Amino acid sequence: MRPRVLWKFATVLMISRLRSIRQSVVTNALSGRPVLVLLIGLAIFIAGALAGLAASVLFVSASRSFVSIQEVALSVAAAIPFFLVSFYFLTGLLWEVNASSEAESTDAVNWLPISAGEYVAASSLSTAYTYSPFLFGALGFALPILFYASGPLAFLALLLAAVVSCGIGAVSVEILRSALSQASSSFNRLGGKTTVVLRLVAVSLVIILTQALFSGFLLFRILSLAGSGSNLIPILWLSLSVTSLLSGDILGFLLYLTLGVGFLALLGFIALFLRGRYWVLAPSSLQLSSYGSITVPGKLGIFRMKPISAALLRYEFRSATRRRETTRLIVLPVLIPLIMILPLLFATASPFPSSTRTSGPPPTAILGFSFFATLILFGIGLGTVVLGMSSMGREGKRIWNLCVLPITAKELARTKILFTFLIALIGLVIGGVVASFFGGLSTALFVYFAAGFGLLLAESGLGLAVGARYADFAEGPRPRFVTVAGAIIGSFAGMLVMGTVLAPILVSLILSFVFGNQSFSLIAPVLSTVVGVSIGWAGYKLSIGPIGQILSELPA
Amino acid sequence: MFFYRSKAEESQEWMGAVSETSSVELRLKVFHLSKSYGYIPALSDVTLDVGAGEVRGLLGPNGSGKSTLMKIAVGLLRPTSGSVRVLGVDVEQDPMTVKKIVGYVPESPRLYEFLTATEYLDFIGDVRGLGLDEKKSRIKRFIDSLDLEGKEGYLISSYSQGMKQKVAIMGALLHKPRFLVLDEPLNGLDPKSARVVKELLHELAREGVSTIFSTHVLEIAQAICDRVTILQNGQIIAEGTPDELRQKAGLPGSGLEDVFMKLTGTSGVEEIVRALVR
Repeated sequence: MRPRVLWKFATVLMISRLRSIRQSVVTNALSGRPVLVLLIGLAIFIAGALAGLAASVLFVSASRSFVSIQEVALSVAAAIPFFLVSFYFLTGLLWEVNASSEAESTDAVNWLPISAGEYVAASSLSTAYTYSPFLFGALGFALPILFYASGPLAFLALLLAAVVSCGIGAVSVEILRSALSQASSSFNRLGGKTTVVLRLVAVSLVIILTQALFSGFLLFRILSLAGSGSNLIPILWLSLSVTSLLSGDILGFLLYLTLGVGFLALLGFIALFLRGRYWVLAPSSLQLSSYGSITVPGKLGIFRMKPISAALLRYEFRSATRRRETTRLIVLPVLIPLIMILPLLFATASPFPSSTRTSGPPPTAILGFSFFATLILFGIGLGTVVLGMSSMGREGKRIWNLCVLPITAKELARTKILFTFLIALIGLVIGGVVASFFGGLSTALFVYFAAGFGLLLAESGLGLAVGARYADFAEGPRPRFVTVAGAIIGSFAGMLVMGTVLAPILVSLILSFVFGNQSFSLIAPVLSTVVGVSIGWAGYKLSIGPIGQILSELPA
Repeated sequence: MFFYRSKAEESQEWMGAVSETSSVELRLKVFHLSKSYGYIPALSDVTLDVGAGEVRGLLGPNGSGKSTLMKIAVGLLRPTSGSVRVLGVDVEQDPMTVKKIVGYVPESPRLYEFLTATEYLDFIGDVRGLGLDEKKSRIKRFIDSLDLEGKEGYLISSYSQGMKQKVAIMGALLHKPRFLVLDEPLNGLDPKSARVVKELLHELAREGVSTIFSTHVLEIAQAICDRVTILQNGQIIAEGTPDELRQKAGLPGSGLEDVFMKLTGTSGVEEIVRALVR
């Protein structure tokens, strides 16, 4: 292994990752300096230390009635190594899921004289260093707490454990990268529809897993397991090493630290083996059944659409289900409501000590259909506006194909809105089932579907209006599809639209609860639908101009 | 020719907008065209005519404005000033009609890589309004003729550069356009397919289809083009048949490469090579 090559290659990988973020505030000159990450890390370290100091003061002053600083130190020391491993791994996982298959930045290594070992080491180093501000932040927060509770030695032990944790997380990403490379080739051999379904399921699971791990509830459960003798879980060994030291068990500290380092070495060996074996990414050579039949113009199943609209809609579905970077977007309207409900599901099996748990039925049982339906509608609305905003940007550099064809802005806008709406409609139906399952079947189901229908149309139209005006056609390892300004405006406008569409329902609920007046409850869903359709129509109208602009002047 | 039917048959099928303009002799009229990207000029006061059945070669060093001119001609970019008319239709005023009658292959075609070749051509055919039978038969003929038979069911992402280029060419020709805009269309093609495309352009020209065609391979320009326009720094520096250009450069009997070098003022190649070898 050549250290100079390793260092250079790690720097290049890190710069490529930083520049792919494409934040206009980070110029190329700045993002080309690795020291920038260190400086950001130091700033975050200081901020973290100040936060930790404030927390220490708070816990020390409140220790008599609440919890001792030693207990807090123990929790922080246990949580940080586990958090870092999870964070690095999941960041890498999301990166891989989102990465554009056409923008793999690793091509050059296939013809440069770089060994598998150098690649794995450089890539791990780049991952670890790129996200090191999180390490700095965590260590900064822990510094005053550990210093106060147990002295400098405890902090040094945490530092060691945290660095090894970052290594474990970064090397795990390398294993994942090779495994996914092999898996995607295997997926592709399976055939068209199977691939699509497997990819959708895989992406959904990844997102749910991410949410579950970062929900806090699961973290508490795992950490409580650590206290009950789960010392066979490798990713907990480094946490256990620090907690052992804090408990005065030097031997335990050394044992778990050695095990942690050994685990890192084992992962490194596996990563090296997999990288060596699956060095070159095989291009996807998926052969679809019936090699993509020639379709009857003007028909799309039961819809009997115009030829251009049918062709565009068919293309949208194929694009969304076959492109790795867009698959995550189309599952959003279905997943966001599930993700929002997830913490409540964990809450039914509370991780908190029994003394603090309230007696009675689990939370989901007493909340009822209306609560879940509202939560789900909120989630679907959010997912729909995000999907809608990506409508134009996800064309990327292929947009010329549409620009050169005789397609009007109106036709394109209608198809984009219809596609977003249809995808979101699946989420609405699943959401209805989920709400009924957890909250019990209710006559409010009709209200849910009526309001949902209007909401989805409104958000689809709004999403396209924003997405067309603020489209981001740049392609990189992680395409963004909409500019940062667009994303912010769209999210806020999406919330506003949600409030507006659901306002009649909320008013009717208030009227029936406060005054017992039910007369408005029948008109409210109809009003919501009308408001939603109107906003959707306005969004459609507003999007025609920017789409026409894109079709007549190829974006740079 | 296998890709096209007789003119009489075609004239029956032409769209209304096209039939109005089919009698126009000048297929492309570029009039005092300028285009700037911000403050950077790409084209300056370019005037150019292409007649019916003419194959016009666009030559020029990298960054001379060839691709910009072609993009404006197909309605992908708006001119800063001046105008472009394709078959009598002003591109800026009525881009939709122009898009219906033009076939275009860009310099580096980014196709829908998540579709198969068949699906991509099916999509193009539907948007261009082809009927089922016509679409089927033309897609099959194209796939057979350009040696993609047996590979049409694979995703375009798995294709080589040359195979992608073939799909882009098929997409441009599928609707029997009366005017072709081809930006380095032979890039990456194998010799047989390149020959097919060259012969095809000749045949189409005989049937009245006009083409503007950019290339850096001067032998190809010499073999295919009736007339050649040389662009440099966004301006036309020479125009005419290959023989006229030789005369203009004072190099009768020379190859087009020498003519190009002289007209574009390219010199010192030997010194550059010596410096590179050193």
